Amino acid sequence: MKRQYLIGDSVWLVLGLAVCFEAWRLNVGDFTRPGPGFLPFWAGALLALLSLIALIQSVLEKPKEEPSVWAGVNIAKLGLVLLALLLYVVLLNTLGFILCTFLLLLFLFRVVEPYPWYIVLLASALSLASVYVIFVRFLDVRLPAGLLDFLR
Amino acid sequence: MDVLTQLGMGFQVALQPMNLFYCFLGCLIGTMVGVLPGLGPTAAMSLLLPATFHVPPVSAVIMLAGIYYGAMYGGSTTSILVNIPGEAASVMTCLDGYRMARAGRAGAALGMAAFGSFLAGTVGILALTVVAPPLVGFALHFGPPEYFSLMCLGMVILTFLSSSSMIRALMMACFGLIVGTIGQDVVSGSTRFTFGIMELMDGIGLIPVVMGLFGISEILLNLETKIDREVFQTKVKGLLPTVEDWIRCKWALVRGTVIGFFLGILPGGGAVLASFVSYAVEKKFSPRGDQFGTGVIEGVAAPESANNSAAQAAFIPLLTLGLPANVVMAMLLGALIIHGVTPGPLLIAQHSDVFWGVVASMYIGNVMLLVLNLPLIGMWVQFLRVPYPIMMPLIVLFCLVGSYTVANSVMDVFFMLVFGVIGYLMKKLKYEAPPFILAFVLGPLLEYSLKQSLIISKGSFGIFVTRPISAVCLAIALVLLLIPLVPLVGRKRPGATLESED
Repeated sequence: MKRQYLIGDSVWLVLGLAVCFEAWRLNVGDFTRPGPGFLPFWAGALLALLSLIALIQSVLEKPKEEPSVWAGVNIAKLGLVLLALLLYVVLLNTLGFILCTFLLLLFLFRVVEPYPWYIVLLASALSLASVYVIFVRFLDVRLPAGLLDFLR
Repeated sequence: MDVLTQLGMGFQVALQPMNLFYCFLGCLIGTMVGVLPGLGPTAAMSLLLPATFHVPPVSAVIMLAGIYYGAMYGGSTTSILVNIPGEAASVMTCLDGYRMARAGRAGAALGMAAFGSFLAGTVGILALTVVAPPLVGFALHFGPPEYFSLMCLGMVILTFLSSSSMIRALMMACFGLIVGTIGQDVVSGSTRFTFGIMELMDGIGLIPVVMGLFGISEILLNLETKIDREVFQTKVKGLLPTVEDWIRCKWALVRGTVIGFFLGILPGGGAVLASFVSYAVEKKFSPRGDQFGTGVIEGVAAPESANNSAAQAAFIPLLTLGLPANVVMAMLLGALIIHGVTPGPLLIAQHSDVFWGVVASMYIGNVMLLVLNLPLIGMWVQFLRVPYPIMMPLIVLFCLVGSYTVANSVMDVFFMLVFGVIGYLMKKLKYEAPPFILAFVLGPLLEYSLKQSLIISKGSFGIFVTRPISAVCLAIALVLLLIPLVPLVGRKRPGATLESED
């Protein structure tokens, strides 16, 4: 864990300091008249202080033989899923809920276990249809129509 | 009006067909997410919160509450039959429950879990009914300093119970406070940490954050492990525990219920903590304590009764003080606020239908759960056979739709993804999410009461130590903060083995 903590705690330390800096700009005020930066400043300062202590602890800790936490991570698969989700967010308003979700579901049903395509198609269509019926028909939720707007 | 009249009125509310339906729906969904590993009550409640927007607040809270205590029932089924805890509060049930199932006594274990849950849950609600109204009188003495100190205590307790390093848990609480300040400052109107993004003006919503941290991050984490669920192949028969079982369990049930209730009220406590402590206590006091872990029925009765009475007791601080004791209660707080009901000492007076309706629905819900869990156990076992690669896209789909519908905003979906990645990294590197969520929810209230206190006291921190309730809370918090510094005791923090409550 040592190396991970060294990196992790450093990130928190930098974040804490950055928050302090930004909060200072927002006007911290004083104890009699706390300003908008008051709580963020002290929370940031505490975060930075605690990260510093944790960081020193990690440095002093003897390195142990441990398997890396990243062992077994399938970076490619993880990246693909994240990319797909990000694309979903970007395209949701243009492509519309139905089209966008259908494509995402096709991908997700294939990614963990490569089921045959007819199962993937069926599962995606079924889950999309049930969610659409529950949320749009029964709960009256508005989802972006996008390209399929003409269907309404 | 006395308690009985009020409760009678509550039953009138809870017995309306629509509320009965929502109560049933909540119990059903709760049992389902309880049974399914990898989807806890927190995630389920955030998924369904948007769906409750257009129903009256009573019905919404009745359903969301049902999900919480329903999950406490369902979790035990998976623990006993698959040896995987369906949710965090059922971890201890695996130890003896699964052994019993291996020894052919799955029925008795499931039966005892369900009956124990029912009895403890009912006692828990009875205590809630009796304790909550007088507590409100006490809560009215709470001013900003008391609220501030109590919130600090709650956060310290939660970090004290964290399973990894306490310093890092405290860091997560600070991070939660910081994220909670994003958006417009209520007092001065100036915007903070928005980086010019319009959607950040109102701050980041609770739902995208919770769904990201508990839903999406779990999905990302599970991408790397192949999930095999081997349902124990046995005919579940004889769901009624024998007379001998009952005699053995009676004290386990009593102790579990009492321990669960008190740990449930505790800010920062909750069902997970209760089940761990109760198992440990039972192991010490039971005449068969040395056989715990080999499949003794007391080992099922104690944690299962504790987690249910704790689940009921956790409502007390929320409904009387407006302070959520744990992450799940934080979700309910969010739900109440969205519906225009501000939890706090005035809740019972101003929204008596909400309070008593929800309390009454819990009595009904517990009966429903007993029926749902015992005769229908076979159905839930079937649920466990749905393979994970099929479940995964469905969970993602619900997260996407759920986070979008809160504010009809694509930006919220994006924030959810961001917090999904943050949550994934936090889980990987052993930084805990629960202190973050609690601090994130309490943040605005904490900031407000801190500023109010300082204005009242003209800048002196003395106000926090000269008022007795506040001083006691801070003293306890200080002791808890110092304990890890004492090397020998520090290693035995009860939470050292605790899993997070999601």
